[in-house]
Amino acid sequence: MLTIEEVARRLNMPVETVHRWIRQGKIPMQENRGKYAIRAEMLERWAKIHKLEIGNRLPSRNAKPTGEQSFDGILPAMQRGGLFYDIEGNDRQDVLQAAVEAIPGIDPSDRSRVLESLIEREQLASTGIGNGIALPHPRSNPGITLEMPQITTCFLARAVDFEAIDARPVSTLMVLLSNSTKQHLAMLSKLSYYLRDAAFRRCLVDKSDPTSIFNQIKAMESKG
Amino acid sequence: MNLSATLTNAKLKWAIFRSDDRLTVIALAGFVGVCSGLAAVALNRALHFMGTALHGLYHHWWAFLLPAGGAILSAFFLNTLLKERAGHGVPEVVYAVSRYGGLLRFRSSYSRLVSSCLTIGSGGSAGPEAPVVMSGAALGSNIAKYFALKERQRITLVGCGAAGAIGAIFNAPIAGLVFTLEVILGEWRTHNIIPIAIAAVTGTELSRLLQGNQIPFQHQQFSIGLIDIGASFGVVALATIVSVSLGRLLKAMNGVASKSRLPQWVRPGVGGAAVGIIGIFLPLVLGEGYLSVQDMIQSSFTPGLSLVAFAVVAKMLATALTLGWGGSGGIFAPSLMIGSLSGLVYYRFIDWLLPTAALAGEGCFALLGMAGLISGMLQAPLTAIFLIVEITGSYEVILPLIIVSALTSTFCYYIEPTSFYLRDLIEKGQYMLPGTDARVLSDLTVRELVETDYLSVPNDMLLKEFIDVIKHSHRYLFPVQDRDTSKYVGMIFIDRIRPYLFDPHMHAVLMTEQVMDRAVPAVKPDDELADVLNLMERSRLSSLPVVESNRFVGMLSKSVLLDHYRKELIVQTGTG
Repeated sequence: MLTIEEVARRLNMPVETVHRWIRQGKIPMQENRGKYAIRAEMLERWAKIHKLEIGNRLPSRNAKPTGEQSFDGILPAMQRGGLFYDIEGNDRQDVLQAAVEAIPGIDPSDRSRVLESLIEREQLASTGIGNGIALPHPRSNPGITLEMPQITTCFLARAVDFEAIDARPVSTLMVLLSNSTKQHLAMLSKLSYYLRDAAFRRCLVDKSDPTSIFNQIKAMESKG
Repeated sequence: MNLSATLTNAKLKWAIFRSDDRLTVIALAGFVGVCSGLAAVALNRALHFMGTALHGLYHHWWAFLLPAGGAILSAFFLNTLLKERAGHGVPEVVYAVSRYGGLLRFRSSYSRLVSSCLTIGSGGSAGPEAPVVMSGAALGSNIAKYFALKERQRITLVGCGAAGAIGAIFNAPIAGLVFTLEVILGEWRTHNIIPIAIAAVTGTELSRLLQGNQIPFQHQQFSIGLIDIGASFGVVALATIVSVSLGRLLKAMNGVASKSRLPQWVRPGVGGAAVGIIGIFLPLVLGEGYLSVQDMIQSSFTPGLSLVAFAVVAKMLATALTLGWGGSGGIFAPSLMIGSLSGLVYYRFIDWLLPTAALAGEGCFALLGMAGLISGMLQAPLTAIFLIVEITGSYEVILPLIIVSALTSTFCYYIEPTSFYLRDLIEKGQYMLPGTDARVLSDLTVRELVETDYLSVPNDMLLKEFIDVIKHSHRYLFPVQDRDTSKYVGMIFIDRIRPYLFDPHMHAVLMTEQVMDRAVPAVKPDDELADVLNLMERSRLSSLPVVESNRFVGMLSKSVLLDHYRKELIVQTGTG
């Protein structure tokens, strides 16, 4: 037997509506000592006759997408991607090529495709976000398989012109690779949030050693 | 000056009076009744004429080809010459009433009269009622159109045509009224009943004037005892079985005919020839069969039990052959004939089994069988009751009559939940009463509701450019299309991308295709709205993109839908 509240939940209607339907004799619920109840089969039959959807089949609005792992944080992503110092190159294309060579964890045959997609993206609009930092990334996954998103940080031997929004030459590349747009967005917005921190930016511009950069991130993560 | 003002005022009042006047409708109803009565008399006379003209030919060996020729001619006339849809008439009228506010073409007022006259007059087993109903209804519809009546009044006049036709054929005005309300209109409303009653009376009166007061069945008196009431339950069982099998037989025959590879114009001939061959051995299956019915009611039908039982089957087969293979005509008269034959079979069987049981008489059971078949085939128990009461002119028979009609229609409803007339329409999903949710949703189309003033953005637009677009738009939804191919690729919901909008770092590195939703279900312009609403409920979105051959057309939102839904409902029900 189902109560009014359960009936309302199953029909996905407000309890007040179910009360009104009972008052108007629209729904065959039986009164027993002041409480209304209906058998589940009766309700199903009634709903079918009236062409109403029934049950909990409606997905909840905040349902987590399944099957895809959620982003696990900037620190692990940077650790997976690795940090590389003194990347050689005199222009945007050269340094991107050198950076792609350095990316760990992808198949050597995929590298040319990754590079192509990075250059294509740069041609649309520069990923130089100012303060000497650029975030090269492909528009969409160029066809590589990655367990988890990763950030490869490359410190350039010489700053190169990247047509960044503040027109300053770029000395730090953070190449973002991920499986899906969703992971990419999560990673990018988190990273962008950290990059607002002046101390973190200084760490990157000063080409600090990995330990101090990671410590800086840990400090920021513990802050919130 | 004063006079002209008064005149203008009077004119205005006359216009209002005329536009909302029941008298106009009632006057026109009488006229429509006369017209459909004329149609009924004309068909009756024509059938009579054909009958006498062809009578001399039936002894020839090739007589069985007569029904074939008639059926072919009638199909040629109906389908090729007049380009009318096939069908026996009543479903077409019901469809026009439920879907098109009773609009019927003028040619329908004579097309089926001629074609059914050819089919039935040459010996095909079919009824003239449905053609006359269609013709009366078409006359009513066109008269209403001529006088620029409103939709409701036009439907009333269509009903008037049907009522006048049935009233004139059976000399039974109440049966005409009840048939119209029960079968054609499907609703009983006060503003319908009076004009339709008047049309039924004028139609009947006209046919009485022209053909006398005794067509086609004579009044009969029976004395009904308790034993007859008990025996009527047996009629119920027999009538249910016969109705259901006749319905199935017609449908099966139609299926066989539509699968055959014969050219369209030959098919009615096949059915006609088969009927003709049956007619060689059992001439009483030919035609509409009123004469035999009359004999049975008057208890002067001579053939014995086994021959009558055989005739039931033969008549069913002949009817299925005629109508299933494309002859033109209705099911009403065959139902009457098969019903009275079944009643007779039942009576003679009981008489043989219990010779001492004093039943009311053959005629009475023939009438009960008729009532059973009408209520079973047409799901119209009240029509059956009133028709028989009017034919017999007595209330004695009403008790067994109500038992037979009510129970047969109920049992048939359990086996075949729709009447024979509506079966095709319901199967095609075309029978929907105005003012119902299904009807409103099926009348509205996606194309009527789509809002097209949405701005598409290319898929590679940077977020900072996109923000400029947002600034100058009043929408919060943006379709995204591929820059090169202009194909629709996804939707951007401003409320879902808020975190990126307020982060200046992201403005330079994010593109529209990265923040858009690809998983938004799209709607096609010819999708059914009921499905669209289900989709909205399942995806919990209040607007969905409409996409046609990969191009974005516009958005369909629940709020616009509700607006139009309400207006449509008001228009359909004609009330506030």
